[in-house]
Amino acid sequence: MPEIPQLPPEIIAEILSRLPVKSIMRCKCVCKPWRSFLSDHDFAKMHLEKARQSRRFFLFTEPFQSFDLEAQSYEDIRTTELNIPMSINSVDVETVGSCDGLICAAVEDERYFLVWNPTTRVVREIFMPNSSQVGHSFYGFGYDNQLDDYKIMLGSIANGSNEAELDIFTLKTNKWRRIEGLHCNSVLVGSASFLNGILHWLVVRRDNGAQICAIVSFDLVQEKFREVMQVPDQISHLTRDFKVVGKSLCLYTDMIGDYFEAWVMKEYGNPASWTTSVKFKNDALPGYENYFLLVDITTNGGEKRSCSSNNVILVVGDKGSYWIINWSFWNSVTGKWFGFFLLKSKTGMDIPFKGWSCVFDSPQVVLVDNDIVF
Amino acid sequence: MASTDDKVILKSSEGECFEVDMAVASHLQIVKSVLEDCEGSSDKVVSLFIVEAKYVAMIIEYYKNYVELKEKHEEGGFEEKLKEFEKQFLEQIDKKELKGLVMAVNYLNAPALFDVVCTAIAKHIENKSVEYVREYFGIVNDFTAEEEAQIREEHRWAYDGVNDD
Repeated sequence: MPEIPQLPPEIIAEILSRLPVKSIMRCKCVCKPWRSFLSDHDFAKMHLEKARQSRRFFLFTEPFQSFDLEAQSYEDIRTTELNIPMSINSVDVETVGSCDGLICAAVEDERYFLVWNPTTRVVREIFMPNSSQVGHSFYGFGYDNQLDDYKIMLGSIANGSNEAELDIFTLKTNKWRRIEGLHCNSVLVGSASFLNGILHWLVVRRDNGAQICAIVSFDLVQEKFREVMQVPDQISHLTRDFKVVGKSLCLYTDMIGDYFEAWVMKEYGNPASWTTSVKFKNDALPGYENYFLLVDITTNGGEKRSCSSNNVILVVGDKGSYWIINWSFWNSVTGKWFGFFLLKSKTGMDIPFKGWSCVFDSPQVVLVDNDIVF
Repeated sequence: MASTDDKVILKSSEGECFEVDMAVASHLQIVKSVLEDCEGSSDKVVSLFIVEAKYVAMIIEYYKNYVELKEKHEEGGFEEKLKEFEKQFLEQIDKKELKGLVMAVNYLNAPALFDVVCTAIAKHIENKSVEYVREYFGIVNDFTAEEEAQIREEHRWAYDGVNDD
């Protein structure tokens, strides 16, 4: 039988890009050409396109942990311990954002950002530029598809002014760049939600006692503020917070009224397209009277299951502890199951949770840093 | 004669001939383009110079089922049925033969099967040791012992749960 010739590199690339991250890390020691190829940005991109996207929820506990948000039942919930190859002593850590499996966080008191790929366990520290103000700063993390690079944006607006001062960092160039004189009439604080190349902040103001919400957005590719999106009145006065769920912006209420409700903007940028995604009576949830954050809404693809409450997890957290409770709902309109994840304060298990958490895509091989190449 | 019109002959590297329905052969981009180039010619033989007969047979089997299942499950359920068939199809193929098959499929430019075979090879090596992967792909280790030890150390966590069969 004739010996099968060696596979050409382009076929090998196709095969390796279908491997899970752990196997890819191991394959780096097969030979020198593989090592350099597997450490390349193009390969990371190829892998990103093929990788099965699953969302995980990250908790800043000791040790760090993550949960599969798409677990089909309580028994399926797998906790994975995550190693971060550095020590973070600060408790003042805030999630800046997550994109393509990378997590970006700000360690404010030590004035640096960290970009971390929990799957490849690679982390990079990025010091904040000197001139930027601490305190009333806002930031965001996302992907610029024109540059094919990830960007961190750090901004501030001086009191009484409407001129924003921005610093933008690109991972590949490893440089901060300053942009001055951009007009922004809103006071932006904290981290942005990233979607479609755009960073979003929710801005809330009061007008004659009524709450008015708007979404301020910044185009990370064009590096410009975009037109402010007003939230329709009927949603605006109920809104407590917002985030990106799947591929949509999502606004949600708190638990004070009779109902909990979350709306998604079905058609990006169209204010008429806000649609109720989730609505249920508050007392249907355990501990509903507590403060909480919406973590994620998942869809379980309309599987035939009996309507029970043991389908998906509910993550419950607090400064000192967190709970995991599973919860699910049947949406009779869409005919789909969805899981519900909340973060709220109530004492549960004795695992310290420091308040830093986020949802990220996993597993991904996206590079945080240019790996050492032989 | 209508019956020969929608048939094409695929000739393997050994010269073995396979008569195939056009509906099946049209999934192979190379066959499609060869036939387009010689449109009007009565000669419907396509020589696949570098593809062995056993691979031609496998590829035809895959796309024959693909076409049949698609027709049968037009209303829905095609993807699940195809997945079932793919599982059974891959079980009959020797792991070493997957490499020959992927080369053949790549040459014939048949995207659906290419994805299936690449995924099958990836699945096969997923939990294998570095030594196994080298042997499977016929790769010579060009690292020094020190270099290799250093790289292993960098991603030590990646070496748990590896098997060598």
